Amino acid sequence: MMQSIVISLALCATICAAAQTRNTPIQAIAYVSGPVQADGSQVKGNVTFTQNDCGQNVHVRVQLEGLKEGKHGFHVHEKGDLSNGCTSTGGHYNPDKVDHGGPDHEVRHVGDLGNLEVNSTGVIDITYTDKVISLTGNRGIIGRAVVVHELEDDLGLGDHVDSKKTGNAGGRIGCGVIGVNSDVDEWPCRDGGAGGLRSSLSILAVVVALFLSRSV
Amino acid sequence: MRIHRRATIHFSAAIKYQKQNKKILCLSLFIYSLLVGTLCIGSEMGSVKIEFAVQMKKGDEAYANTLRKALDGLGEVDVDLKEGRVIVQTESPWSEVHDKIESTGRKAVLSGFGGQSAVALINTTGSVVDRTPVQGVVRFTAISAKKPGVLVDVVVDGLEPGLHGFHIHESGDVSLGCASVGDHYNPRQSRHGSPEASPSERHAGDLGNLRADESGRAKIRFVDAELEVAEIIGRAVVITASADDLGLGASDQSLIDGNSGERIACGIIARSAGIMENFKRFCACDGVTLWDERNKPLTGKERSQKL
Repeated sequence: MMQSIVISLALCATICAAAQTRNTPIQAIAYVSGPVQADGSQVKGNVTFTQNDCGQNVHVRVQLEGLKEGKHGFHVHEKGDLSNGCTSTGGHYNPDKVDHGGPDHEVRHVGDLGNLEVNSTGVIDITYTDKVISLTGNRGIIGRAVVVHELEDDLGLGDHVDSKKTGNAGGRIGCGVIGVNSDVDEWPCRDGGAGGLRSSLSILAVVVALFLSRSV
Repeated sequence: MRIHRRATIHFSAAIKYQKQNKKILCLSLFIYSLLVGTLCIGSEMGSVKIEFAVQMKKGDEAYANTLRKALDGLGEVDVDLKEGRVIVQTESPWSEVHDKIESTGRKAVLSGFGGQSAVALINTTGSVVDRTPVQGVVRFTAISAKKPGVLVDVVVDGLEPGLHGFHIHESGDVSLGCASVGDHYNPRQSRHGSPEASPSERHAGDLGNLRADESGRAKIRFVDAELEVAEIIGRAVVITASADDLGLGASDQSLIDGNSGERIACGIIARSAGIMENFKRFCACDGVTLWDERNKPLTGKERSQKL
């Protein structure tokens, strides 16, 4: 008798956990803009981020115009504070305090997204996947900023003193805050969020099971 | 979620004590609730720490005194000449402190605000129709690390004098301007209402109205007891053309958005630095200082190059 109660409770906990798993992707968007340059050009466009579930890879789509031909450093910066222009967004988002690198490097800032390679049209529309950034959790990139730099990011491989810190990518020609773009009221996977509910439900079920088995 | 966790704690406590004296259990629960109560009351103050980077020289005590005099009456002031840092514990809006520091003839840049904090730059960027010169800053900071409650500090210019609806919307997508940020943030699926109403009688994002004075400036600081900084990051704040009737109007629209009309300005709620988190005094890219930044273009010849 007791065993069947315990088993059914454990089963319930598992089902609860499974039911909480998201099946709609999580999306974020940054509307990027910069000041009008001397030649009348202006960087603007959207960067969208899509993550199918907590902990999965993030697909990044970059649609920008008004860029000069060549490579431009592209990073997620720590803060999304634009109160002092793109400067107040802080440094590259780097929660682990490691050296700057390229997006495919073993050692990199979480926010190191490498370079945008722009052709003579000045327009770019690319989609790629990044394995390090995430939209969820305390280390998520929501509310931080994407910044497009004037120069090429040397991916930490240059001999300039700033190479291992910033990739020596020069001034910031465009930036935008990464905002929520999903129909979500409760942001999933953050500490104390859906994950917390799931685990506390399972724990509660186990505790109840123990309690029952003792009292009988 | 919070209620749930608390319930779990009480529950396991109950099991632990079931075989012991029931008096001990009651007493400990009583003390526990007393403690929680005291913590809640203690954090209800609207005072917040604001950190400014100010151009100062090491050992310039004379200036430090000028600064202390200028800030007299605003709250507790801590001047660090060596780091070029001024921390003020105050109940006044940040813009007032900023203006008082700059009245001494030095430039100041806000570099930290409260504990867990967020900021939204209000403008019409991204709007297809760019006709309003509305600009401003809204800062949010948690009043306690342990419970909900957010201090909201607003200064917005360029508004028509009078009342304007002020809401947090569910999304932070400004690709089509303020039109694409979705509806009012409403995780509890409630009706529209006043910020004073109970959580089930208002949207979580209902922050009431801003009152713009004759010069078009709206300046206010208030505490919303229900919101949390973490849940609003990445969403947007929106200012509307008309006053929000707080759900008391006669029409159906009143229960949706308080008849507050067109969205005239908005900004994404972004992560910002708390106190002592921001040590940058110049742009790492080329060494332009924080204070010169607002006068320099982002690129080109005018921008000084470090090397």
